[in-house]
Amino acid sequence: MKRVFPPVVLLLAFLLLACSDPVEIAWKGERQVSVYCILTRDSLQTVRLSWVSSLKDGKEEWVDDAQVFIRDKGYAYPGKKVNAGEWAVSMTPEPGKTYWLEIHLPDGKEISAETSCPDERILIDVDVYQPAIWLEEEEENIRQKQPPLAYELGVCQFFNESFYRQFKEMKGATTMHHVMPGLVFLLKDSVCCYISAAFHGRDGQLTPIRYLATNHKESDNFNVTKKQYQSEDYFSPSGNELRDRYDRASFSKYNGLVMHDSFLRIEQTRDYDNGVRNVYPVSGHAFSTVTDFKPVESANKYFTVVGSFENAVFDKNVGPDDEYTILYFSSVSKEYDRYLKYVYERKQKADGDMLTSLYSDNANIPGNIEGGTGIFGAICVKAFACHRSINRFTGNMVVYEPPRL
Amino acid sequence: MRKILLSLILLLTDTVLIFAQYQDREIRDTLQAAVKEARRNVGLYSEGYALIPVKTRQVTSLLGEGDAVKYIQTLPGVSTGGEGGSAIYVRGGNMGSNLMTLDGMPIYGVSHLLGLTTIIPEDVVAETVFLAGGFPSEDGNFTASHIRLVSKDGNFGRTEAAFSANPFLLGGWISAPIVKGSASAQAVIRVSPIGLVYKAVKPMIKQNQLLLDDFGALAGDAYGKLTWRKDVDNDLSLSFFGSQDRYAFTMNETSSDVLGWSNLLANLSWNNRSISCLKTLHADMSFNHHVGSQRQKTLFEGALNDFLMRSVIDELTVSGSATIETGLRSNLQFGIKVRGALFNPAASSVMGEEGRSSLLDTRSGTLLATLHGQWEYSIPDLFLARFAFRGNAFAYGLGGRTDKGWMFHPEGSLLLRWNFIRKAGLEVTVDALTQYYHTLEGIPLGWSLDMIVSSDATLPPERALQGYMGAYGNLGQHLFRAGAFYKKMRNLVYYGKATDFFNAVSRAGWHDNINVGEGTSYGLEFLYEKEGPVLSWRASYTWSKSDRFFPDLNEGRRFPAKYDRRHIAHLAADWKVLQRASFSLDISSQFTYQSGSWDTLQDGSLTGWFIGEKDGVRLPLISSLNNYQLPAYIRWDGGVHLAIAGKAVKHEVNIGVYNILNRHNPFMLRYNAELEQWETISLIPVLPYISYRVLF
Repeated sequence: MKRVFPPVVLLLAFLLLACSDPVEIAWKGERQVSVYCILTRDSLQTVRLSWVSSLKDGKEEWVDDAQVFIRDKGYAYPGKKVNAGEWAVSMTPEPGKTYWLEIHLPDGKEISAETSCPDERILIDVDVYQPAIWLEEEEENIRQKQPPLAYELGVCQFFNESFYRQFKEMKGATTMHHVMPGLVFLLKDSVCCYISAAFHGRDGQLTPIRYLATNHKESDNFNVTKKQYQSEDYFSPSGNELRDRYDRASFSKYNGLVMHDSFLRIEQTRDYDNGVRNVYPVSGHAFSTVTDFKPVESANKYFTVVGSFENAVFDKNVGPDDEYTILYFSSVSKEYDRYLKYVYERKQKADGDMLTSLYSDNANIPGNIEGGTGIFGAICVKAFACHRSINRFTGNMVVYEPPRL
Repeated sequence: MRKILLSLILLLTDTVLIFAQYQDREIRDTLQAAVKEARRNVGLYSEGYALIPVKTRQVTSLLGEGDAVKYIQTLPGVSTGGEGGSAIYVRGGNMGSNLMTLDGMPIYGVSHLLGLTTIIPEDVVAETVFLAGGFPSEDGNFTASHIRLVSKDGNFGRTEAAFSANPFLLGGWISAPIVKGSASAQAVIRVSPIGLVYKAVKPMIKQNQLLLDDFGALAGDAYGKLTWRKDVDNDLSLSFFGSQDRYAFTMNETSSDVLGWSNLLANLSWNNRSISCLKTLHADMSFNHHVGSQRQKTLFEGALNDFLMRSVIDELTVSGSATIETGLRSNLQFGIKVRGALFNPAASSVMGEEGRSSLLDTRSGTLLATLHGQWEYSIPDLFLARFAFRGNAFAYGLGGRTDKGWMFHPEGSLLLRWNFIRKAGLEVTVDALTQYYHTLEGIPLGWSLDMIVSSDATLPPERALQGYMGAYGNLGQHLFRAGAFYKKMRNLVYYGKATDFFNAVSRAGWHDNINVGEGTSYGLEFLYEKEGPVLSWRASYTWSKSDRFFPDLNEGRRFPAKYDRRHIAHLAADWKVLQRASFSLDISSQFTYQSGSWDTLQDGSLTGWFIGEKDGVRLPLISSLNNYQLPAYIRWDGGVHLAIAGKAVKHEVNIGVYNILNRHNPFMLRYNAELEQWETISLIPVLPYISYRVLF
């Protein structure tokens, strides 16, 4: 018997000496297969099958033998076993379509699931807009000197006051002297979306950006931290007084935003207005224009994402292409969204609190597997590179092609 | 001398019986006179189990003296919650489905000191009636049982007082005539020295075993009542009651918590027996204010986070009832009760740089109007029948932030008793019950930290339909009762985020974490008592099965209710070793065996992945809700009750041992990640108890 003081009985601990005794727990009920299959826009899909094991076991017990199919309305794509517990299915899911997963085990048991691929075309539209409105005192000057401009960087819009100042004052410059942690995006008509970011350093390493904050009214707070965004934490003076003043002013308005751990989860947004046309990058040209557009921050049509760059190292002496931020927009199917939230929350508990029986948790494990457990979902990831240089763009830096008109 | 020696050797003794001793006691309460009349004539407890404080105090408790709830926990059909707590689960119902009232006023936060005792001092109580079926018409807004506390009127003739002390509570009571024969006042106050006890004990505990850096407690209650008897047939009373529990603890320099709950009750009551066409007339008005709160301060990455959450219930009730004799053997009782309540569950605020934000309001008002009536027919020593009816009109969402609406529910109870031989017979009860609020039970200790929310369109009122059939007998010193019950419950709630119970974000979205389902329960109950001049003992046994079903949980499979204890057995005995005019010595013993309660354990695991992560996360998996049954609960207590009466002063001392067997009765389980095994945690080892009481 070991004498312990369980934290959950704090108020009795000082008077009562709690004791602990070991018990053996074994999985109750029928042996279950755990399925993990997330459809991507790749041409090869992976299906993982394992047996649910007891809590104590650390090793994965893979399913040895099974017939695996991914079916659409017209055809069943067979899976081929490529590894222990892993089957590969050659097929490329199409946005908006429904797919069925079928698994047949040697003992005659059948497992099935259904999911739909997020519609990429309505996933994300990236629009450009007039940055001049952010500079109230110089607005007139800008309009007189040059036509309304919008700037595209890669396939995303990188917009903030300091960036605009860079553009206005430093045409042709290829380096930046301070970090630009703020990015403004438009998210339109998307399904549930996960936004995460990573910093690509000059050494080629991708470092996930740990904390993100947003003023999007429909962002999910389930992964908020107790940390708040403070622009001064990331500010590095450039030496140019006017530039520094605008930088401070532009990002300090986001001070106090609660930081989220590793990603943002944005629920489906409302309809957008029709006043904006989509503009996509054309290779070799950095600029495009749009007219008749005015951002309305309060309508949730624009939101800001700010991140902490505390784990990134900027070197102002390197070339502009060597360091950049990548923003990932992951649109997921409904079941996969619930599963991801569950995985995230369980991961937090595994890192911290102990398991106890005092709180009987909701055992409604998110999943959509009939005859088993696990998840059959779909994801569409769009990645955007954000360079600090104003003169360069590289198109879509990661795998996916930008949408075409 | 021989008797004293024998008492020291023998550990198994009798406890005093508590039933059916009312013929010579005049109790003025909300019970209808006709009902009491019927009870006397039949010679049985038509009102269920009626307890008097001197008996309930002798029940074993860590405090050294018991209370009504501790006694009720030993009755058939009653399952207990966690070790040492005040929770009761009656015939498969939830803890929040029971109603405790003081002179008709509902009490929402019933426990002190985390469940060690109830908030109502026994000195206040003239009688406790515990009903599990066959409810009178004026009893409503619950679906399991009713613990009806009736307060004393005070002494109209002389001043009397008492003082009591045990390691957890110090108390004093006084009752005195204001106008001899017609007006009296009484007051009780109790406070807990627990904070001081901790400070005294702290230096004796090894530093590395101390979990709390600091601890403070404020717990206590106070009661006052004025009674005016205009004449034999008219009395008016005004009473106030307040209780407070507040516990502050610091785990380390980065975290501190303050949690607490309080009650404030006020009641104005009038009884009249002089109107010729009415046998009795009763009216009362009461106000009830209940608050539960928690404040948490944590230092996280240099920032102080200060979060406060409060749940409040304010209730105003006006009621009136009357009884008419409709024949030589029958009477009719009718009345109306209107209850307006304002619920404000989980209102929260955050302390920031600019001060505390205003409380996020979640208030919602309700109005419950009940018309009730019952007709009772009795043939002395042969037959008793009672038909009780209630019509409830319930309006919700008044003046609040939720949708408005209203609903109507009829409900009622039937009680039939038939003596097939003198003093023994058959009994049948049928009840259809409705409860217009839900208790989102978190930690299953019967703490008053549970959140209480009103019913509405998305959380419909709880409903229960139950039936009981059995036999009874009152044969001189021997009393028995045996029967079977069946119960169906609907619109039960399951709070799905109990792990995040104290989490601000989760609490603010509590409505989204609720699942609505149903439950079924059935079982057998048995009770035998023998009260003798020297030896008294009582045995009770319950066999029952209780389950739950929530369509969105557990993959739509039924699962056991948490406190579905298949076998519950109690054996209590009291031996009057010595009984003199000025001195008495009793030795008592209590043994209990209860099948283990159920817990939900993560008994499996699988691998899951988050977006973009190559390394999987080992995810605990639950095969089923309430998939593990804890070992049986077995406890043996023994004690001595000593009373010394002088001319003006009487002393009473209870000394005993709780959990003589030192059994590690499991309270909960936890997973030891280091050893990769589950462990039971048991709280209370063998523990002595003592209490002292002096009466003037």
